[in-house]
Amino acid sequence: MQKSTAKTLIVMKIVFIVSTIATLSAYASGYSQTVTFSGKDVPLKNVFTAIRQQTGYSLFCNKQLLELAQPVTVNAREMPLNEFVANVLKHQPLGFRIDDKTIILSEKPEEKPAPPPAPEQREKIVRGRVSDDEGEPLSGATITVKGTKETTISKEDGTFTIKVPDDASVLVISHVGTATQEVNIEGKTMIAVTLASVNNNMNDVVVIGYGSQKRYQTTGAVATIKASEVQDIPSPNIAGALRGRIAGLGVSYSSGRPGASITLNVRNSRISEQAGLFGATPEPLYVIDNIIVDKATFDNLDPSMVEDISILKDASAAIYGAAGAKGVVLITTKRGRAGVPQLTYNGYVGVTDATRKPDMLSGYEHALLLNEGYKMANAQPNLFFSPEDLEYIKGLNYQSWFDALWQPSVTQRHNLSVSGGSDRVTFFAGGSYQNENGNYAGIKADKYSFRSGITAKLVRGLQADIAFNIDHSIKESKNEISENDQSFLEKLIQVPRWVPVSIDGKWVNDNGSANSHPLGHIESGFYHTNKRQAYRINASLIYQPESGFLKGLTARFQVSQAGDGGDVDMYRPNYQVYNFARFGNNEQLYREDSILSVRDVFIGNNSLLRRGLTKRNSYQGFLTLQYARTFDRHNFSVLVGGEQSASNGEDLQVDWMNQQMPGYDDYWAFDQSPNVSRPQLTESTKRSFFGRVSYNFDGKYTLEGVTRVDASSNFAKGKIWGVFPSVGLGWVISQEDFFRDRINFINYMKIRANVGLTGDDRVNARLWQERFAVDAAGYLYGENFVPGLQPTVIPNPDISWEKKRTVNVGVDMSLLDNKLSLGIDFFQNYIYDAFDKGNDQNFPMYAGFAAPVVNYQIRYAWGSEFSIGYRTRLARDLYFKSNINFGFSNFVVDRMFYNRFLLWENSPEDWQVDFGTDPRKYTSSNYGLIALGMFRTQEEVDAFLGKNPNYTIDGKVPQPGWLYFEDVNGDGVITDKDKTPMFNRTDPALSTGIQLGLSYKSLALSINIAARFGGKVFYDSKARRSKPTPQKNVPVFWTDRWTPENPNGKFPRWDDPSIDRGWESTFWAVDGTMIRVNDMTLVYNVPKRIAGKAGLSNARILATGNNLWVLKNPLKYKDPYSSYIYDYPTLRTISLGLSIGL
Amino acid sequence: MKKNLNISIYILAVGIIMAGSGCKKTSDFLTLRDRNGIDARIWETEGAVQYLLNETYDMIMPDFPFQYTANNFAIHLVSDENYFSANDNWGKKVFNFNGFLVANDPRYIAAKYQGTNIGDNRYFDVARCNLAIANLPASQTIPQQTKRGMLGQFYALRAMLYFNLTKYYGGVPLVLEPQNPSSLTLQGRVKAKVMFEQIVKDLDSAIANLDGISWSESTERGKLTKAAAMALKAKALLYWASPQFNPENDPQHPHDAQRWQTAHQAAKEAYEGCIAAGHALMPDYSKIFQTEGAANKEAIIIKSYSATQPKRGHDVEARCRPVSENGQPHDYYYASTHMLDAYTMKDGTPITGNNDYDPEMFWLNRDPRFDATMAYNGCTWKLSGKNNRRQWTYVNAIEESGNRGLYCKKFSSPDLPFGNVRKSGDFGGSGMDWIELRFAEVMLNYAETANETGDLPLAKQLVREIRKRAGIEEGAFDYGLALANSKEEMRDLIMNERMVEFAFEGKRGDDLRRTRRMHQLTGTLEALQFVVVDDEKKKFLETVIDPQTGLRNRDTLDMTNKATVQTYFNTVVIIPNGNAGFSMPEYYYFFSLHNQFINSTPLLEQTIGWEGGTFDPL
Repeated sequence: MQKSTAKTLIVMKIVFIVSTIATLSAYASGYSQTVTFSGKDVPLKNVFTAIRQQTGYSLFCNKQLLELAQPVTVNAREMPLNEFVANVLKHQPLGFRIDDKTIILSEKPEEKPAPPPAPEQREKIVRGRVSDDEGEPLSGATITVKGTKETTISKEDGTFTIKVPDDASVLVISHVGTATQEVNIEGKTMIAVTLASVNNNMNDVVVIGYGSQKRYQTTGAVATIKASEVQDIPSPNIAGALRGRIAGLGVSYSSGRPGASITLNVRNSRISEQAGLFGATPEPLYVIDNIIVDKATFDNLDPSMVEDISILKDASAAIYGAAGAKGVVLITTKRGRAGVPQLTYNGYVGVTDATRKPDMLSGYEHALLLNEGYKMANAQPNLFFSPEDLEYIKGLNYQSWFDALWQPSVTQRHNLSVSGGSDRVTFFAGGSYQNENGNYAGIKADKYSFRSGITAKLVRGLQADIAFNIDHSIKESKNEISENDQSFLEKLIQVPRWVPVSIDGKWVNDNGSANSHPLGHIESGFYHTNKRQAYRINASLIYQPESGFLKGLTARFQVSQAGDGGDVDMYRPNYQVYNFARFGNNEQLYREDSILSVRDVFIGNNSLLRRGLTKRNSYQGFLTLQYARTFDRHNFSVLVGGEQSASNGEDLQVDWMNQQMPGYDDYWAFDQSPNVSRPQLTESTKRSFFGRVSYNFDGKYTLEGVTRVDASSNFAKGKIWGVFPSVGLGWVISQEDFFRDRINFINYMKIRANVGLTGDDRVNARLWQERFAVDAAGYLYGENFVPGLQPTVIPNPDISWEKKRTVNVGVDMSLLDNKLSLGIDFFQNYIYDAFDKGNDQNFPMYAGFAAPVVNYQIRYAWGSEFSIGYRTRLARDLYFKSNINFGFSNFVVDRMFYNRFLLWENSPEDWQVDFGTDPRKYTSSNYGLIALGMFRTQEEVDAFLGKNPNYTIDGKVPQPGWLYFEDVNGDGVITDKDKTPMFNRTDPALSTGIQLGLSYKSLALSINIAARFGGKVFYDSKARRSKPTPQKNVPVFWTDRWTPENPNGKFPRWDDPSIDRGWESTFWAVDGTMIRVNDMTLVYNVPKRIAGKAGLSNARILATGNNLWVLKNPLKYKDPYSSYIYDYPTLRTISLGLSIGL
Repeated sequence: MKKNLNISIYILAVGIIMAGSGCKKTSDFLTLRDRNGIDARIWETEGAVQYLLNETYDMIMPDFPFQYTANNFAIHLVSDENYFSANDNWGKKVFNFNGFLVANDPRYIAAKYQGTNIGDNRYFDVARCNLAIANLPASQTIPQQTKRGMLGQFYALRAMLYFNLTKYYGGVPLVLEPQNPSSLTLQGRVKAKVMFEQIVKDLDSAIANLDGISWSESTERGKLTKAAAMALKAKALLYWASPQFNPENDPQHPHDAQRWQTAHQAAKEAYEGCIAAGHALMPDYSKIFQTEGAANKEAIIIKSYSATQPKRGHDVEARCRPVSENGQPHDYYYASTHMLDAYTMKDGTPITGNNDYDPEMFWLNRDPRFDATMAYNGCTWKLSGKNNRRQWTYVNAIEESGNRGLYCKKFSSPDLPFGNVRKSGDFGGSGMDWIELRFAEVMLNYAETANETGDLPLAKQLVREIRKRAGIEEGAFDYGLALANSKEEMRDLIMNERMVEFAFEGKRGDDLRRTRRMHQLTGTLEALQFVVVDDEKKKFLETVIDPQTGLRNRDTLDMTNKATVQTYFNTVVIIPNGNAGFSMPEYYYFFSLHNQFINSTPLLEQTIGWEGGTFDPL
């Protein structure tokens, strides 16, 4: 029997009927130990599938056994697993054993005690399977018979066979990234081992472009994040949720306005400012499911649809050679899983409000401030507010224009998805809706998306994967859509408080907004909408023979076709504002009963109807052949591939003006000679070939080489090709005996290094060819209008790929029983042939052309990134984890075009910031005057002038209440020329993102903190330079200013000449230390038994807050994330969410 | 299983073949057509070259004065005919009323390395012409006749452009070939002589190419003609002979009298050519700018405008009009006392020592062009279609602002409705065409060369025709011409005639510079205001007597009655505060190259007289 069992085992094909359900939360998950299952004549296979889904226990057995088994009829409800399995197998010729989360089936006799071994038998064969704690087979695990030299490595399917000497009874099984385990094999010939992964994630599968790798094999700086970690954050999109979570990934919001762009930046990528005008971009490349997509597609992706995110930060991006130079963001979306259909819902509803609203002076304070100014300037009496006027203003109770506008609003996201299928066909379909409402003007950003995918195993070894996605995004507003609404809000916020918004429903025309009215504008019927609808078909065919000489080969053919269409609509009808009679000593106050005149705001040709249409189409197709085999301790894989893509797009915009029939936003209601703006047509194609060779020995040493050859249509014939190789090395030093034996506190340590070249072709097409383009303004011959044609491009036939050589050295470690993990990366980037517009000034001004765009700039960038994780159990059921990441980086421009004449003309900001200088010091914001203090009294002024007799500030003799400055150039007077770098550096000493997590039983709390220490921030120029006038109010901090009565005021008089000139100075700098709680999520995992009663397989309830508190704010008047006081404020979102599975 | 394997391979193979069959050679796959413009094929596409030509017109063809003001252009607008030069920052500097110009100030030549807007960089405009002149002749498909017509215009436009540059700078780099980074014509400034030789050569090419070519009145009006090229040539040679380039008493630059002969010959040919082409004086001086199209035989070079074509309008109407008629009056159209005094009496005799002239009633008995051009206090000025409308220009007049004592009638459209006066966005205004060169100028140029070459009778005959058309009475002095009995007297008379005839047309500054009379101006620049005697009188004047029509007491005043005038008004000369006397340095006759331009290559020298200047255009 023993023999026949062994034989069976040798020939058996081991099949795991497994499916994986993602752990719902990184560390607060679990399976029940009971099974609920009912069915009549169910194949045994399906029963175990159900067990797997409900308990996480997988099956390990001879496939034939399963096929031979009779269908079973069961009816169980929350039956303990052991009992359930016994029940199922009752009438079967099978026995079972549960071993470490695996159910091992065997023929019944196995249950009988084995006959005593023959004395002459010196050794036995033990077979087994190694899996990780998610049930995925682990290859490359080292299995050693304890106390002997007998060693083997598990295969790709996790199985192994090892000879065990008779006297040995323990196997030691180890694998990078998991805890080493010892297994007693006494009396066993078949074992299943689950190696608990430790928090160093070294066994995670990392998506690296055209394939994936185990984390321990990677040689580059690849940051990964599970979408589940960020999907609960109520941020507008994935990019927003990544803020502060990944070292080396910059995330910047334009403003809090719904629909405002959020951009990602990998390792501080930069471009020449001039080249930016010609299509160069510092943004990374976005890749979703192997297909390069545009930013809009990435933005519209619902976080709940995402499985995981990888960010290639260094030469590992060379596989995307083209456009990989600024990093690559790789997204893998969710796929169907075999099993009974699972319905999942998750969503939240939240309320948004400004973290900080602009705080302006009251009408009374404003009037007083003006009076003081007039007094100091000896102004004419008719400018002053009289005491009666002041009293009147004091008594006014007008709502501020901002308050009349601003309200908290609702934001929400809902996602519903279904997944399921058999082992041959799986499917996934999900729809989501996201709605962000702005806080005024009907501002709205809505996204609808639908993703579906089906994966079918067609015939043996051949799999088809077809996905179809649609998304639809809508941005609406009753004022002009912009990134930060600054000009709109600035006007509105600055309206003095003694001006009513409206009187009897009639919009008040105040002086400041000059014949317009922000609220009137919103109410006029004005609208501006941007819409985009997109679809994408993504189909692939994967051939993976399971046997024969082709075993180990994976051929993948994938084609994706996408299209999108968008439209921009704007309607600007006329509306009226009313000039009310004024009174008061200076005629600033509004009489409510007397209308002087009515003004039309958008009359005649200023009324407008705009219809803009865009469409784009693209396809990308590639074929990859991969061959991967493991021979003994050698593990290698070769991948070659070819890819081709093409895209085209078109924009069209038509304006109708001069509305003839008010009230109709249709074209026929306008003058019928529309204005068509120049249509834009774009076309591009690209073809590439690439390969990757990866070799790993013994789980310790990895050597990897990647090359990509790209041809881009952006360049002229002969310049189209770019070659981008890279090579990487990895060494898992902790697998070495000498290390393992000596250093106990380090559980895992890997050193890796890579060097490679990446490129970028993202620059305007056809810069290599002369172009004459239409100028619609044209010319008139008599009354006959004719268009014009302009020469627009001076060709640079040599323009070609921008290149970046990157060197990255990193260490991944896990220490102290895997409680502490550490990732350190050092990198150096050498960017050359970077796009730059040639310096015009290098050509005589009479050459008659502008300099072409060339490959010229050279930059070095270097830095380090640290990521420290710590997780531990604090007490029973109480777990803690934290993660901190931070980095330091800098760069220097080594070669660039600059205007040499500006070196002595007085515009240093233009050149000092870049060339060969330290950008932490030589930035335009750090360029200003050194403030020595403020003159508090006339005596101080006199004393100072006594020492510096000719001292003037911008030609004006100092006065009390003015700032005074160091005469840097020594000419005795303060002018532009005294500007100098103010501080040695303004960037923070440390800028970090901290994630904290705490879980107790069903409760989990996670907190994301952003902190910045040191450095300088400056009062923004809008706040600093706003001067009070009868038309303009100012921020409230101006109350604490110098006046004769308040000589110790913090701020200068607002007629200070340096404010007048907008000069930066050290006076306006404050310590930049900032600490804020970005977001916080509290999750309650509803216990299974309660959820089960509701018919749910799982349920979570969560409360989330985004942009919660600023613990230390360097500038109190605005949120640290807002650039300017009048930008659309940063929003705080408090939301409640629910996640359930059926 | 074997079968399955075969199927797999089959399906995969089909996939690969399908992918492979779509493959083109990479270089073909990557070769795309430019969808947003045209490349070198432009030269085989008649319409495209015509578009390029249209754009070239737009950039080179001069505008109404003050339409272009970027890059300190006011420096070039300065003359003694208006108050603008007394009040504008740059104007004051040119005349040294208040500080000097520095070398970095004049920037007409180029301000940017781009050519999308007028004045960005004149060499971008040169480049347009150069491209066409170099590439058009080789075109295979464009018909010969069409090619000639287009080439002729490109030559003429290039000449106009270089002529303007020469006028201002004396000599500049002369770029005649298309440039690109790999083939640059690297040269410094050339002398005025070379400039003029090239200008004349280009105009000769234009004349030859445009010979026999006529333009459709309805769709091509405004394209340069052979007559225009001849007139331009005569004008260029007039400049070359004039004291700016041909000083009379400068030992370093000996006077070359022969140039006047050459200029005279060209002027004669231009005069005759224009007549042959059907050009003539308009019968009514006041209608010259108000008449567009074939009816205006006087217009030789024009730039068309329209109130209804987007971006093809101007706001001259608003600049001329008073506030009461929706205007935004501008100093440029506010006559100086020099200008007022230049007008002769109605018999052509100067005001100096003239018994008919009364400074307090200066608007009476003048050259009829005075009334056609000047709006003074209480004059009749039809605007917004209001017949018998009277203009009040006294200080603080109700419904007016700016306190301008005079307005300019020349460029206003009397029937343009109130609401259409302002240019708003891309539309509006009067859409009046600009006449850059009219037959009267051809005649006066010819008169001047005739006088300089000793043909006084011919000179007088030409001026006489101008004066007759103006409506001047023959009087006792042959339209005033009998007072000029020598070349010098006639020269002065012609200069005065030009000032009056071309008032506010932007020619006066050029003439002052061309004749080197600008640095000889005396006194200072003044303008007139009318002041109401007292507040009570003002109240009376402004009292409405007919609420129906809004008629006020003032509208009944007889402004030809001195007693009445004196009852209510004083005439006051205003001098802008602190202005010193005219004292333009002579080196201003050739402007400096500004820093950015001169720094762009070491080959350039600064104009002599200016700081660091070594280049003498002569």
